[in-house]
Amino acid sequence: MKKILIIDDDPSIQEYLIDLFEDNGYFTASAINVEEALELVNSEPFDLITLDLEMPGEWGPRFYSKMVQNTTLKNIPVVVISGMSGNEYAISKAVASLTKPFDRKELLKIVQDILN
Amino acid sequence: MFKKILFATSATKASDHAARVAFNISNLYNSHMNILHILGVPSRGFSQKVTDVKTREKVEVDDEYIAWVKEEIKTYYAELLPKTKSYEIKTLIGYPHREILREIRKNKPDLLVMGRSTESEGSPVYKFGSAGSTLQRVIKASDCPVLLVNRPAASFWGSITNIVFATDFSKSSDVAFDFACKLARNINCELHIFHAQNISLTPESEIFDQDTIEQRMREKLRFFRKKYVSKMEGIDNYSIEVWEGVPYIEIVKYAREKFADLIIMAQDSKNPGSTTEELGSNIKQVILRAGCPVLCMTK
Repeated sequence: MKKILIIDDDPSIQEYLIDLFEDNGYFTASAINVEEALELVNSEPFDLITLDLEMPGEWGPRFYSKMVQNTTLKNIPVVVISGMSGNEYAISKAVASLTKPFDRKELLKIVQDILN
Repeated sequence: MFKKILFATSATKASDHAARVAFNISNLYNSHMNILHILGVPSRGFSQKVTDVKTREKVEVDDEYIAWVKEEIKTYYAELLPKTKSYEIKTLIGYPHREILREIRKNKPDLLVMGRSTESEGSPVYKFGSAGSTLQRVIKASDCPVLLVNRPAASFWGSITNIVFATDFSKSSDVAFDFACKLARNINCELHIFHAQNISLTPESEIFDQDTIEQRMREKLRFFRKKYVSKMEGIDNYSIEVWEGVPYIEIVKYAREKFADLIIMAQDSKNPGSTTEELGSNIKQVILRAGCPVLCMTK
C-alpha cells in the first residue's frame, strides 16, 4: 500500500487528512513541524507528501528545500495544502496546490492520479 | 536588529506579498511596525483633495476620511495584524516616494518593507509619475535598508537561514557586506558571498574565450577571500563563489540553488552618486525576478 506523509501543524486538519486517506486505502504518517517531517522522510519511504506552508518555526517551503537536497527524496511528489493566498507560487515543483478549505474529492482525485 | 519596521503599503493586492513578509519579520523579531499609507497626490499644492487609491475617486481628506481609511487598512490586514506586538497606522498626503523618505528621516526605522509597484496591477491612479518610480526613488535615497518583495513566490518566508550577498566589489557593496555580516552573526545563519563575472554581450563588450573567463574567475575568488574573509569573524557557515554569466540571472539562480531567504545587494553600486532616478539594471532585475525578498542598501 502507498504511504502518504501529512505535514500540518493543525491537529484537526491532520486528523481529517488521515481519515480521508486511510478510508481510501492509503497508509499515513503525520508531522506537525519541519523538524519532525525531516526525521520521518529520512527514516522511512513515502510515496506522497501533503505540505502546509505556514507552520511554527520553519515553513513548508524550507522543508521542501531541505528534502530535495537528499537525492533519494527529491522526487517524492508534494501537494501543497494551505490557507495562504497565492500558495501555488510557494513551491514551484509541487504537483498541486490546494487552498483551505479544500474539496476532499478534488484532493483525493489528485492523490489517486499521482499514486495509482 | 529590526526593532522598528516601516511598511509602506497601498493596502492593495500589490502589497500583499510584502505584507506577509513584513508582519512575519515583526513577529520573529518582536518589532514595532509602522504601517504607512499614502492617501494620494493632492490635486494642487497643499490641497486636501486627493485621488483615492482604491476607489479612484477624488476625495476631500478630513479626519472622518482618514479614520475610515485606517479602519479599511485594519480590516484589510485583519489576519496579519495579530502577528505584530505593536503597530501604528499612519496616512499621509503627497507623492509616495517623498512621503516615505520623509517618514524614514523622521522616524529612523531599521527596515523599510515595500511590495511591488501598484502600476503592475493596472491602477491608473499611480500611473503618472509616482508608483512605477516610487520604489526606485525610495531605494536610491533611503537612509535605511529597503526590503523588497516583488513576486508572490518571494513571500513564503518563515525565517532567515540563508543569506546571499551579491557583490561587485564596489564601495557601496562594502556597506551591504557589513550589514550582511551583522545580520548573519545576529541570527546565526549561513552567508553565501557571490559575484557574477559579467559575460553578457553588448556592442561595447569584449568577447573572452573560456580560459580567460575562468582565469578571471579564479583571480576574483582570490580577491574575494582577501577582501571579505578576514571581516567575517563569528560567521562559521559561509561559502564564496564566482560564476560567469549575466549578473542578475546568475544572482537569481545562485539564490535559488542556495535556498536563500534573503538577497542583500547594494543599489547602483557602480554609480553611488548618480542623480538618475533609475536603479542599476542588475539590482532592478534581481528585485523583479528573485524568489526571495531582496534587501537593498544605499548608505
